[in-house]
Amino acid sequence: MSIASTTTHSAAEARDRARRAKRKGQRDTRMSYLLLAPYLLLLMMFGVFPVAYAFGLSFFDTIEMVFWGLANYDFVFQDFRIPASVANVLSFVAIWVGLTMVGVAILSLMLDSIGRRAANTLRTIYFLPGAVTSSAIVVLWLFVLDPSVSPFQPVLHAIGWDTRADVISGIGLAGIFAIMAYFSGSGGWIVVFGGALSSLPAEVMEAARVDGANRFQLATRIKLPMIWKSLVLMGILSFAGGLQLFVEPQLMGLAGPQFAQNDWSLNQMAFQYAFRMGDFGASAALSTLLVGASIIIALVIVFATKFYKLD
Amino acid sequence: MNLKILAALSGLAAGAMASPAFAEAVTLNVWSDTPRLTMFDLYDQTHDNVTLNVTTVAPADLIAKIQLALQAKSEIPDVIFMSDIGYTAQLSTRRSNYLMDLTDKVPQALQDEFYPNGNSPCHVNGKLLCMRNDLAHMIVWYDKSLMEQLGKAVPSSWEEFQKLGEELGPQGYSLGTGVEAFPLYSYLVSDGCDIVMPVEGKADTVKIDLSTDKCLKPARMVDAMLKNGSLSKLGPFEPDFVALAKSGKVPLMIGPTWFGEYVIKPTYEWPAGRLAAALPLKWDDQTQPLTWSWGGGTYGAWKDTAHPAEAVDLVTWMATDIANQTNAVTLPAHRPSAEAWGARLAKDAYYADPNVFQVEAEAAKFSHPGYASLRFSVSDAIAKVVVQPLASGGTVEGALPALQTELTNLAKLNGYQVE
Repeated sequence: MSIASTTTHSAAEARDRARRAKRKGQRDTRMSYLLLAPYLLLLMMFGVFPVAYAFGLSFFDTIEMVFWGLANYDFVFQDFRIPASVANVLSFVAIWVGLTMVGVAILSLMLDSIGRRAANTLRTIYFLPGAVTSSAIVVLWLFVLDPSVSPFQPVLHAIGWDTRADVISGIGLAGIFAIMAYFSGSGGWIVVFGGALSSLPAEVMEAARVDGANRFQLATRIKLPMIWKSLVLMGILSFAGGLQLFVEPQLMGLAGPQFAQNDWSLNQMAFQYAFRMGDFGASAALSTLLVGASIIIALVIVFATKFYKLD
Repeated sequence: MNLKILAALSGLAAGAMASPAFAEAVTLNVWSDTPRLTMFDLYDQTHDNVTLNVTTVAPADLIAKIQLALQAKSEIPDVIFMSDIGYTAQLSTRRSNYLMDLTDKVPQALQDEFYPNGNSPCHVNGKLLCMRNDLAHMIVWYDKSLMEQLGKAVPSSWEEFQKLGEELGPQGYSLGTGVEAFPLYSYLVSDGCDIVMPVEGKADTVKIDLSTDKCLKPARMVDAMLKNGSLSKLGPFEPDFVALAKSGKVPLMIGPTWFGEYVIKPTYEWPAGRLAAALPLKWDDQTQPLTWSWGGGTYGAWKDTAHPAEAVDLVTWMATDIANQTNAVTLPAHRPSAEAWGARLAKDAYYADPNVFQVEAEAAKFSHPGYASLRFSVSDAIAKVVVQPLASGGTVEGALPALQTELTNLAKLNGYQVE
């Protein structure tokens, strides 16, 4: 009797606990949706809706609002400037993503192996350019790359670059835009990787140290493989962002009309279609293609590399 | 009976609405750039029947903003100032059909008061779509004292210009820029080269042929002058070129009519009493010069404006009112206004020669009739295909075939027939 009653008692208690836990779980889920709501709302308004709207628009003649199938896509594919823009953007993305992955990994690993206080100070400094809008960074770089006003004048002269045109043709536009984008974007990633590296299990580092690994070996053999997936994720995000290149080439005209680049990147072409030619349909078609390409590439990388598979 | 009274009353009401006694001041929405603000303001003050609601729009943003307004079908301006002559063609396409046809709305007699070809950028396929504010043809600007000091005569032909460059280039003097798209464009068309020239009498048809001697000759001249340093590899607004111009190393350059007041005086800071102007250059085998332009703004009106009569009046007044244009910042395209404007310039002690205006007015006769409004930018194409390769050792002559391809593609893309 007493045993039985204890059993029933504990069974009821367990049931109760489960119910409580379930209710708490539901409450947590509801709470997380509540917290996510503002983001989801903004994502719908400024992300999903415009993409869907552009997708719809891309099948219409936007002047008389008549459906004309794939005519806008045909127009985009017939445009002789598109292949050059594709090549430009791909070369920019290749340089920029490479630069970001290598640069961010090296700097993050180096910061992780020095004293905490110095590392934090340096991380803040690296982050600062990211706090400046990219348009301001472009203007700043136009000064840095002009041999007549640059603080790095002696370096530029030593290479044999005497005018802005020499520098631009020397480095190449893709390289210049990659440098601009790298300095404005990498600081944020360095901060993120600072967090990722400091949360690596201390006992693994300890074990490696006991086994005689020096700082370099620790960084390259232990830490790098452990953050590799995050680096790939950064690569994917940068790739998708890089395809959207717009501000850097668009502002080149500030260096003088002879440097203006109106149709260098694909996003600029979409801008040209809509705001120079007034053809919002063709612009929507090109934008849809751009989004489609980003999504396909991301899906391939995610599934082919089983990126989100838990170990 | 009742109906009749009603009809009579409504007729009366309609009549009353239309009569000026009951008319309220009409409000026109105007998009202007900064230099034109005072001119619009003057119209507002001198016309009681019209109130102007003026918005300042950055010249480079104008087309984009109009596209947005047309798309949104609201806030469309009634009258605009266009700083780029290409905007006229770009705002009269099927996709962005904004501009009003002024052909029958501006009296022919008034149109005839403009300088020859003054309104050529406003004529698109035989229609007058805008009114030109100012002329901007290329003339020769020179530093009179410096030229005398160097013992050189002002050239009157391109051959003499090139020879002057051969002499002065190696001594570190520059005769202007060889890499800015517009000056380069103007050198290239100086002998009648067909860089996207509208074909007379054929709508939307252009001629592009850069393989002729008319194009190769000026291209070779620019290449030779870039090589001996007499044409600079810097743009006219780059800090190093400005420093060169300030330090007395630019005795002479080819520039548009607005260069004197707006570049040489405030930016190059040549001292007073030195700046003079001469007629555009001609090639030895030409009977007279053929001079290109760099800019020259225009006014246009919205074709669906609620107040067409007032909008046309504003556009016409802005371009042709003498009292208004006398104080304009640039050389008026309307001849009677320009003469009043020139009288003001003649009193300006800054110039070494009181006849600067006479030179500008005389030069207007040689203005290229092919300076037309196009739906794409030839100067952007020159910057991309010709200027950029120059930095890595290319030549202008070598870039002409690529320019031909680029321009032909651009013309076809924008719906032109290419001959």
